[in-house]
Amino acid sequence: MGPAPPSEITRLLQSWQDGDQNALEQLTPLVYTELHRLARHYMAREKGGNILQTTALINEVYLRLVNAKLDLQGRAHFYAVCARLMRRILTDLARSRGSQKRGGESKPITLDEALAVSPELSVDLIALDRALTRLEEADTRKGKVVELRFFGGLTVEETATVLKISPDTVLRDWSMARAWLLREMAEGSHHEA
Amino acid sequence: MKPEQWQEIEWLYHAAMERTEDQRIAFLESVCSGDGNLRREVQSLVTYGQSSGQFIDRPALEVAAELLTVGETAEDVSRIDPDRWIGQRISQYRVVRKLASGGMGDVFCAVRADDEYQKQVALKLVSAGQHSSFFISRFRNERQILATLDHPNITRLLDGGTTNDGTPYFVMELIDGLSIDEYCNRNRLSIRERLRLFLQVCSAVQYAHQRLIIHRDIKPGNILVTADGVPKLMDFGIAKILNQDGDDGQTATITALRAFTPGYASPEQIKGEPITTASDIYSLGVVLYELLTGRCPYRLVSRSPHEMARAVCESEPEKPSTVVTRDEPAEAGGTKSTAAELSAARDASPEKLKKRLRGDLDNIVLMALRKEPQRRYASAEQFKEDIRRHLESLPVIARNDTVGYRTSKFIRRNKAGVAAALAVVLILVTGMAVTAREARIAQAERARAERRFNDVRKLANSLMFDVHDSIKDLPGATPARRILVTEALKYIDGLAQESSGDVSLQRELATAYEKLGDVQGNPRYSNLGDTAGALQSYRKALAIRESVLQKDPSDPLRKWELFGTDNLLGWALQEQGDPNGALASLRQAASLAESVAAQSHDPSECDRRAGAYWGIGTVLEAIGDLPGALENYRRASAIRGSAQGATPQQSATLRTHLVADDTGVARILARQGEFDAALAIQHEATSLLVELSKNDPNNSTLQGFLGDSYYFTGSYLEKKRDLDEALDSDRKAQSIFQNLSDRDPSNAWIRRWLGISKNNIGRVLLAEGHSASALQTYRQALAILLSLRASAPTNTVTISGLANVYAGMGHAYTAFAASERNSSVRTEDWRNARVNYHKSLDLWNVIRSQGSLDADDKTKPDELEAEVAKCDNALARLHNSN
Repeated sequence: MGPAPPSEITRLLQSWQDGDQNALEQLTPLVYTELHRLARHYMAREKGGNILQTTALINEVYLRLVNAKLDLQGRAHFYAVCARLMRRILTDLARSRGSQKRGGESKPITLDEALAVSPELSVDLIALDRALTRLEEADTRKGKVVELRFFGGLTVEETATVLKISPDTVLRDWSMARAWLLREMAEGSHHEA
Repeated sequence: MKPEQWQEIEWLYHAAMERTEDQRIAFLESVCSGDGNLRREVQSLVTYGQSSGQFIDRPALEVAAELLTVGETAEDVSRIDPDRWIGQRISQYRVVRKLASGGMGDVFCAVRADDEYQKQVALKLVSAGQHSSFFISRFRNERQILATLDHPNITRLLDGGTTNDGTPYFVMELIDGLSIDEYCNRNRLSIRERLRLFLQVCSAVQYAHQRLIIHRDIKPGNILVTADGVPKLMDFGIAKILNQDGDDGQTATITALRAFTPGYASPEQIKGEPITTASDIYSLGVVLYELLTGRCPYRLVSRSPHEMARAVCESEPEKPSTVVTRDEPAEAGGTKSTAAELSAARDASPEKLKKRLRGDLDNIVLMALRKEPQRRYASAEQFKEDIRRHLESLPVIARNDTVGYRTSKFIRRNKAGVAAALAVVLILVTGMAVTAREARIAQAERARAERRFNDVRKLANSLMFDVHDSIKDLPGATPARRILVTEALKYIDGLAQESSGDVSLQRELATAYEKLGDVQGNPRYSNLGDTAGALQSYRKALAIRESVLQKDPSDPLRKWELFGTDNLLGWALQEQGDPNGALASLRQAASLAESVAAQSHDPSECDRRAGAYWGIGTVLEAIGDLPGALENYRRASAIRGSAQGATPQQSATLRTHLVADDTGVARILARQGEFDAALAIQHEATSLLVELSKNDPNNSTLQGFLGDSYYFTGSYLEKKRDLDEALDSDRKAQSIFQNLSDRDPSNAWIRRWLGISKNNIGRVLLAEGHSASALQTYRQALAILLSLRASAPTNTVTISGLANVYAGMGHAYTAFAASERNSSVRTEDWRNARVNYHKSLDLWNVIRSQGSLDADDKTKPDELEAEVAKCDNALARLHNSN
């Protein structure tokens, strides 16, 4: 299955930029296909010995899907979208893997040997997602920093560009966000006032 | 938390982090001066900040890429991305560039890494999904033989092994050349010249046959011609190594799978019969046919594998001389080829070509293409000799075939086709999303042809990851599934017509119909809601199984298979609202079970037999025959209890099913008013389930049953007016279903039970006088059931659940009205009550018109009418008094 027409992605990105939340919904499957393919790509290379950077992958996604010259803001938005999508996709998958392991009936039982992912990882992603959602409620910017850096794989500089803050601020946000998330995941939400 | 607080914590956090341990404590003490909470908050954050270490340091994709590639093994992944090998080392070779992608894998140009030699070789990575250890051992055995194949027209096999991730590879002489058909066309070789070339190919095949090596995959792509005009046959015997499983039955299937690429496979390959040297002769014949005419021996209307297989096995190839004077329209994806063009490539005109081919050459080619292997040339040598004789104008062996012979029907064991169809269907059954474009069975089969599998299930599992592009549900999945079902149905119907002789095929087909039926309308799976279609499919399966049974009426296996189909059909009929039809089928099933296993104490036979009676019980219960239902539930329970020698696994299954039987008994007793007896039984069931789930805590089926058990207990207690206890039980049920739903949000069954259990809670709260809480709970139930109704509008359980919820809400508003003084609020309450009662009434009427009104609910429409009337009266009174 070939990639979606670049114009479609661009249009949706534009809509999303303009505030249309629906556009994100429509973008998801389109970008998902590419991410999936890239993940495979990544897996293949990993086995071959070269670890690929996530941003390089997202760059590839960008190049393949978007041929219009989105301005710098557009690019930043695109990264934000990918990070958001990555988060959603991975969390959903982790959730469904979790339920598979408990023998949910309507899902296929995949070849057990192929379940390479450690069970703990799935749980972590789900807990992390929850904690991150709560962090976003308290402090949107920090939530975004985590989303961009962890799910999007962006460097400090790239994150700073996307969010239009200084790298130093990114680092400080990153530090506090991690501490907060860790605590949240370890102890639960009784810290919320 | 207020923003200012957050900001304060933030700056304190950073300030503290910048200090050393000792400084920090002092700092926080002084700054927070007395605000212990603040200090603790910052302190804890700092503690975690200090120990955050590697937490989320690596981007998510790096740790979770496996999640995105669920189930794909290293082999699959590298197969998907062959480019990864470029520049990499494989053993002592270095991959330079990709040459081609083949059916079995990719071919690369490689050099020896020790640059001394710089000799270029062809390195073929085999991606046919082999178990490498198995392959290696087989390869060692065959390598000796293959390495000794030393013939000028055979590419030499130099080496072989496995890469570091287990992918097998071959290293061969690198041939720089064109495929034989291209070579001949580009150079406009005449018939004579083409024949000369072909003679050399025959020599090569003869040479190999003498060493007992069958090629199995002769086609123009495997015959390269160098610039010097020397033909080289490639991939010799590789097919043989790869496909052997030690068991010729398997080999047959696999080869049949491989043969489903355009038409070089012999009839016996397609039929799954053993391959001999004669199969190679056939393939040579096809190659010759193309070299001489530029066309395929068979005229095909479509490219479906079924069509092709049928053509190869049954239709007569056209005489080469006839075919060259015709212009062919464009084939799917192909180009138009005129007679003029084709003959020009053969250095002739259509008329001249016709004359040239007529007679000897017609006969020679057709002899090689005969359906029966034994009627072809006995050897490649003989084939070659006949051609040589022709070239020297001597008489040839090949004769005009005047003897009419019967072609055998092509479906002997077309396992590949059925397997593929089954696999496609299995995807549907498991509800995997498929995009419409992927919904071509032909494409799936071509993909199938790339792999080797031991049985249908593995095939199906693999196909799941092949046919669809992403695991996530894409919009429009259901229309795509409809298309798939239609295609699959066409395909299987076609196969069914041909299958009369072959019992094992028929059984597979019956299974395929059953699975299709499941996809069309079985509520246990994500289905298309096409119950009529499901019934049709089940009936087809039934007809087949009945005829299969007739052929061997005492075979218990066939009886059990028919038993299964009868059950499926019975259930579907019940869903359709035809309880009498359902009973007929289920009773058939029961009598079959009796005829096989009446005296048996074998656990699984007891389980199945009991299951039939349990099924009958549920239908009788639904139509109101309580004594009948009770009898059947009790019988089922007794049968299951009589099982002996059960393994722990079987025992768990039996006891789980026993719970269902006993729950049924309890339900009937409750309906007959014997609540205490019902409760006693239900408590036993609950205890049993609790025990079973202790041993199997992740089993969601058991959890579901436990939820059901609490649900029923709650409703019996409610009937007894033990409201507090009832509420307790109902809440236990709710929390179990909530749990299950959280784990599996897309499961409609669970959500339905969750909705209904909330409905129960609402009702009890109402009875206890907590109208406001009741309403709130009802609203939760409403949300759930409405969303269920949206995706499955005809599901009776959902609709009746909704009807009950609306009625309950009506009651809640009635209760509000009763205690409300303010007359305008009261009016509002009565209005709300009326609206809800009316909605409930409408829904009961829908159920009634569907014919699915349970005996228990018969009076509901009238009751609701009465309630509506009451509201009207109250509203009228209020209106009048204003």
